[in-house]
Amino acid sequence: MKVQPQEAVQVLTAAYADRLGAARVAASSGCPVIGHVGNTVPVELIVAAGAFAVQVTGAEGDTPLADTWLEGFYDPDVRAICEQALRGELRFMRALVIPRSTEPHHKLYLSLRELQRLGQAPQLPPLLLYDLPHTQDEALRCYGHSRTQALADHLGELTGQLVTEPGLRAAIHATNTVRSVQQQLQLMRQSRPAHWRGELAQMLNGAARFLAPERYAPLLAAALMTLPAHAAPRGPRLLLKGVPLGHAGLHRLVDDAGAVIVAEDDPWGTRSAWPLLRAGSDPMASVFQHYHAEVPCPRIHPRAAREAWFLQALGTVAPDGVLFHLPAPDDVHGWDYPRHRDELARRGIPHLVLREPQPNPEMLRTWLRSLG
Amino acid sequence: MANDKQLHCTAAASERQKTWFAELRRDVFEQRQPYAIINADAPHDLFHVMGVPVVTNQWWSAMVAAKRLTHEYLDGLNALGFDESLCRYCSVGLATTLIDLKERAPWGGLPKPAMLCARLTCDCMSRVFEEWADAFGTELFTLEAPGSSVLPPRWWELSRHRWAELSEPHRLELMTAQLWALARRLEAITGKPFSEDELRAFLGRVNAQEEYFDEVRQLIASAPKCPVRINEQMSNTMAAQWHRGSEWALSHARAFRDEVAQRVRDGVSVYEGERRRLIWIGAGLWHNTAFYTNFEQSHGAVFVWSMYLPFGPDWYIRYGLDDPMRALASRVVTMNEVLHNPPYAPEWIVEEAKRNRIDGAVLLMPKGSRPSAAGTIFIQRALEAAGIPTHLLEADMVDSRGWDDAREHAAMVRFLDERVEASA
Repeated sequence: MKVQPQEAVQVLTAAYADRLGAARVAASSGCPVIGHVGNTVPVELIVAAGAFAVQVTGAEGDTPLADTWLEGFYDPDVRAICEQALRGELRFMRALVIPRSTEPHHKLYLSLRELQRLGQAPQLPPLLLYDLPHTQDEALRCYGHSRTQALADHLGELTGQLVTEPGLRAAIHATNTVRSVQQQLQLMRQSRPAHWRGELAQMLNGAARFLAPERYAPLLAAALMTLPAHAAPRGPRLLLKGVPLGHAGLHRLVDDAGAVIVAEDDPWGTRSAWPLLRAGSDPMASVFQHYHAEVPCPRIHPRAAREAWFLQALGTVAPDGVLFHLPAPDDVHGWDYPRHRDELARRGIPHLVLREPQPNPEMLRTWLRSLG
Repeated sequence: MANDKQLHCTAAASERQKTWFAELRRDVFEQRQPYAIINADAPHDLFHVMGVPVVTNQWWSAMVAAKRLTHEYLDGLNALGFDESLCRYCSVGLATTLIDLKERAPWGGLPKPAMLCARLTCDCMSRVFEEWADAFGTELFTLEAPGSSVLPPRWWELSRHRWAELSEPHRLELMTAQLWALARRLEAITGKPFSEDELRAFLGRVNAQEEYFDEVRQLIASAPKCPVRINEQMSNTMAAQWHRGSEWALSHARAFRDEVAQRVRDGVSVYEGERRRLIWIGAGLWHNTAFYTNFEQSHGAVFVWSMYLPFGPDWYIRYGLDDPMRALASRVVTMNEVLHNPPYAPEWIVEEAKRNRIDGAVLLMPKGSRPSAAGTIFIQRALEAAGIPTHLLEADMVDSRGWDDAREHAAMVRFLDERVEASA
């Protein structure tokens, strides 16, 4: 049944807000649900294993249970996931897959394993570590490929549906369809003048993490038809870089200040739409390569591979300014800042560093006014 | 003076460090022979076997801290745009290269190395070392840090003989391949062929050295009163660890064992009035090592244990050296996880605390070095569950900028009075 554009927007924004809602519905209808953390777990493998894939993310609110086990400097996202695990909110899942793609996520895996061992998280589903390395060399590629196959085997055992080549091809087709529609959204955001308010674009794009691909893609395609109702402010067009934003609060702040974020160098925004996977003759190899090297990840090494997108986007997106989102407890992205600051100065692109989790609106407006 | 050195060995260790550093200055700083800057958890063994002198990043940080220059370097790093919230322990070395303190730079600053080498444990590691390699215009060799899903709580029962089980086959294979690649790079730098036989002999000497340390830790644990202050445990252990596998290190470990054994036989203790035994958890408080002895006279509280001595025998010993590179890889592949993360660290520390009849634990929580600080609460809760009172000390190991001596002293006094004495 064809969905009306405005209804599609409502469904997608609702899924973005109630992030486990669709997964719970799937579980209640008997579909196995596999949760995953971060952006480097191949959802194609989960889909090919016949399961509903959902990303477990941070959520607003206090984290009293997690606070008794995790030090104060843990990323809010990790703390919130731990809280959900301790509260039993993930119990309907068949498993939770955690990648070794950031150190905080690795620590989350170790902490949750220990909480299971201590009997503190009785309702936590089985935990799978996806040991995906991101150093770009041949030995690590071989290793990562074998770990990807091991994950596929494990998922197949959990759901009772083995990951076959035809199944994987079908899953790649489904997620590529999602990416194709997301690319339309992203290109519309980057046009001049920018279409789409940043807040809404962030929510529509991010909802893909919480819905089945075959449901999400037509919804987003329908939502794109609502464009005239959601035109962006005509102010400065900004590129966002730094600590990934799993919410739309900063985008809203920028919208309200009369500017618009048109692209993000993080896993939640623009980069989630590119590139499409090439199923080729070895779809498993394609899946591995995508998550090993093509998605944003702080552990990609060396630097040139990690930063290629940003440097290219400064030209292709041609932003009027760059926002560096570097709130505490960041201890990773800030290392790149001085070099990027110098690069922006060389290109004559202004920037602003946001170190507070809740940026000061007046400071933002003052800076935006300076952009003219 | 409470902080005086009590062991002859300590003076010998200090003298050896001076001699070593003089040699390093001559060979590296003056004659510009190739050397490497490597992280503490990188396989020093390969560099030693290949005859490439190394400067260990964390050792260098501790040296800078001991010269009370850390704050100037870190302030300088902040002035360059690196935010103060970024990790400090691993970046002080980078700061000494980026910031020119002129004649006050320790030994004139580090010259350009032939290579930097780091394991990519935390996410900032590649960034710190990439910046550093750029600043020097030299090569960076990295080792991955694959994640383990086999987490045996009592790892120390596996590490000496059953290390392959502890490491998981795929991880062991990866790390072995990476170490071979490193050996090939060192061959290119030195022009010297790598010899498995040399590595096997080297690791055999490391095992023997750690066996002496094992005896020392047993002596300390079983003696009626602590015979060696942890300052001296650390300096004697680490001097040998940095030079592990050398004849000097083996000889020094033996002499350390002999001297401690003699002190135990003679009934000598570090503080005759010892009434309470404390355990220090975490890296050393390098900018204020006098802290360890500050509570002996007031409370009879003696720090008996830190990880530096017992970690050697429990983690470095690898029996079964048919394939020495594989044995070395098994040590490298999980090193940080064992030191800091659950279940490894809490289980081991509680076991050690019981073995050492510990009355109270002080846990260093360096927020400016998250890899070292993460997991502290798991350790703390495990100790409390075992009936051992704990005190969380939020301070950096090398950065003294936030250290308030009076405040920390008062907090320790409260801990000793209200928790340790009360539970005695």
